[in-house]
Amino acid sequence: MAGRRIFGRLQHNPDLPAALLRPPEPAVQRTSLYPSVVASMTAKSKASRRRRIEGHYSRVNAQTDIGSKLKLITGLQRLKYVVYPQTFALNADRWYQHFTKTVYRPGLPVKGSGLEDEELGRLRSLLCEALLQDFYYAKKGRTFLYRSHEVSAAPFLTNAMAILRSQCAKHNPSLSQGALDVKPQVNFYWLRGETRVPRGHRKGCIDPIRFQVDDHPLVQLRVQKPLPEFVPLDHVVSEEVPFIPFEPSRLPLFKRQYENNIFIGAKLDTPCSYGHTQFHLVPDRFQRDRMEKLSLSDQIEVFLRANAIASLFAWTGAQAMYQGFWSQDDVTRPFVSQGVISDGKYFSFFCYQLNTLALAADADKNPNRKNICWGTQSVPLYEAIEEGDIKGFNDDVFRQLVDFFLNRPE
Amino acid sequence: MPLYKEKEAYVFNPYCRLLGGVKQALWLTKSSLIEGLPKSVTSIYEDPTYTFPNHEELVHNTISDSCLWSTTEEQRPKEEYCPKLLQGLLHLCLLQSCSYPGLSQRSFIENYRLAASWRRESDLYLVRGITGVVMSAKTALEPQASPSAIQVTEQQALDSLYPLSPAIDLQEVNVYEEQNHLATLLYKNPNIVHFCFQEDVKNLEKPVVVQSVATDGQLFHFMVLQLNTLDLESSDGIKNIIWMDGDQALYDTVASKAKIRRKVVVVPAGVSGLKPETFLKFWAMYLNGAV
Repeated sequence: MAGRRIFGRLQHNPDLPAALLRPPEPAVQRTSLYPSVVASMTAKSKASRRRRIEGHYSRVNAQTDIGSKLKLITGLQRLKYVVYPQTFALNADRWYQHFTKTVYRPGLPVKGSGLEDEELGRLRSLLCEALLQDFYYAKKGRTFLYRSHEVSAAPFLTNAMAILRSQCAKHNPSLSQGALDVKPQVNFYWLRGETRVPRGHRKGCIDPIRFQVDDHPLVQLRVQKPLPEFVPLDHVVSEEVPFIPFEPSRLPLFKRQYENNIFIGAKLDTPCSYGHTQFHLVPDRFQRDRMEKLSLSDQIEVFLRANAIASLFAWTGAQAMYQGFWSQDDVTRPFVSQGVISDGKYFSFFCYQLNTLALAADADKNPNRKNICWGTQSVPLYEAIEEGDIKGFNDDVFRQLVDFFLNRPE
Repeated sequence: MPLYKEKEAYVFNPYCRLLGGVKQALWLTKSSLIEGLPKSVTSIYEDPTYTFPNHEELVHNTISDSCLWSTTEEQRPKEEYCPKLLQGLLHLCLLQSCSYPGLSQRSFIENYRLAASWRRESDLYLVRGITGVVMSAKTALEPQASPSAIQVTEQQALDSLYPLSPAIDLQEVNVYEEQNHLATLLYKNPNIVHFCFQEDVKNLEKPVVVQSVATDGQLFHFMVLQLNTLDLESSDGIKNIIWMDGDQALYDTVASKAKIRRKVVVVPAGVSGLKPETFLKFWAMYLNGAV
């Protein structure tokens, strides 16, 4: 049914050139006198549906231009679940792991890089100055309700990103050729699992479940070359991806229909098409003291994990699709990005490695291929700011932050 | 209302569009205008040792990124890409701070609330509002005009706006408070002359210099102000000096698709007619004070 719809839509889409409409002719081998018996293209049968879907797959695979490939993949608009990375849902991280086939590993993959103490001290003084500038020196008035994170924390994180990037560019030359996006837009659209259409004229059809992430990180850094992988592609992880036997609407997630977008924060023309680091800001309504007041203190870390898994999967997946991979043509090399989630005081660090894009029900064949997300618990960067002085500056957090920026492409 | 006053004051905010233009701004701030940029900026601008390699390509990418690439739509509207472009150019300049250590002693403040007030010919003028980005440095800029040049301004007369009132197009209010906050360098405002004019001291021992860049996304206006006096009541005596270099285009056109009329390409696709000189001026203003 779905296949017939796709075929019908494509037939009436005037934007597509005529060559896209038909599956490419396979090289004919004249062994038999008669053409092979194939299922009908238009009948209401399982075989016919399979043939339409396979025709769609071969059309997508035959595309050499990635723009038109993405257009074909995202062409069909249907109701889809909108996944919000910063969610109020309880225990959303396990659900998001299921949607994205991600395992979570506490701790970060070890990396041996570091700066001399003198250089680190200089960086630390610059960062402390930016911290004082935004939290102490600048006179900032009152703001709107639930938007106080925009006053000091957001400018501080943006400044910290700009300062660390410009200072680390000396040691990591790839940063100076990279692009820094402030409040970019990151979108990803994928299929995962199957469900029966409950009502409407397509009632009873088996339909893939569609997901869409529309993410807005605070700042992100893109580079021209991919970061090195943390573990090899065929590395088998012992952890299991949690399985959720319920409909995503029970999380709750809601269905909407609008344009399917796959976007890393820049169009395909950009030279910087690989991700380096994203900074996310914890909004005011998810601040720790508020969560504790609502007796949700066990959800603080869950919120951060869910945010990291959804955002980094969306960003890394979009990078992989920009290189021409998709769910029926799985990645041949892993894709990697890093993320920092902070509310201006507490910092948590995440690394994401995308090992598979084959998440749709008919493509999810290899159970050993899983996406991996490494992460740390949130730790405060400082204890307090009193009278123009920072109390209890945490050096480990600062070193980790610098290490993220020193991670360089091979 | 406790703040109600009988005598009205005139408020300048970012939404004011002055009919008198630069002439009116000069009268209000008691300044004399010099076309072109001061010596210290032009010397950086003309010296090729201060440029950095492949700056043309980087500027080109910054313009395309802010205007064309950063959106899933075809092109961003001007209101959105103008701040993005400015931020991109500032980040590009900030990236050079590893070669110029003085540049790391700067800080940016966004959404800064300004407040200033002064009296001019018995009327009270106020500046209020939120500006674009303010960049402040630890060290003050050196005075750009020599003491003799300052003395010359004593003889220069201000252009009169007659028959217009000098307060035309300013908002008239009766409820106000006289406040002064300090600000140093600001961006993204068409009527920059006013906003640059903020100091908290009455007797200036040393002239204060501030710089400003305003842009609408394509045209850049560069301005340097040297504050010599705060005695604005009368039009006599020494005056403040303003250097201005306006209407410098950074590029000719930018479009996601080529625009063709009668088989002639009117607007080519992408960024066309990039003028790196304008960016070098921006860079010289940024670098001024750090070298």
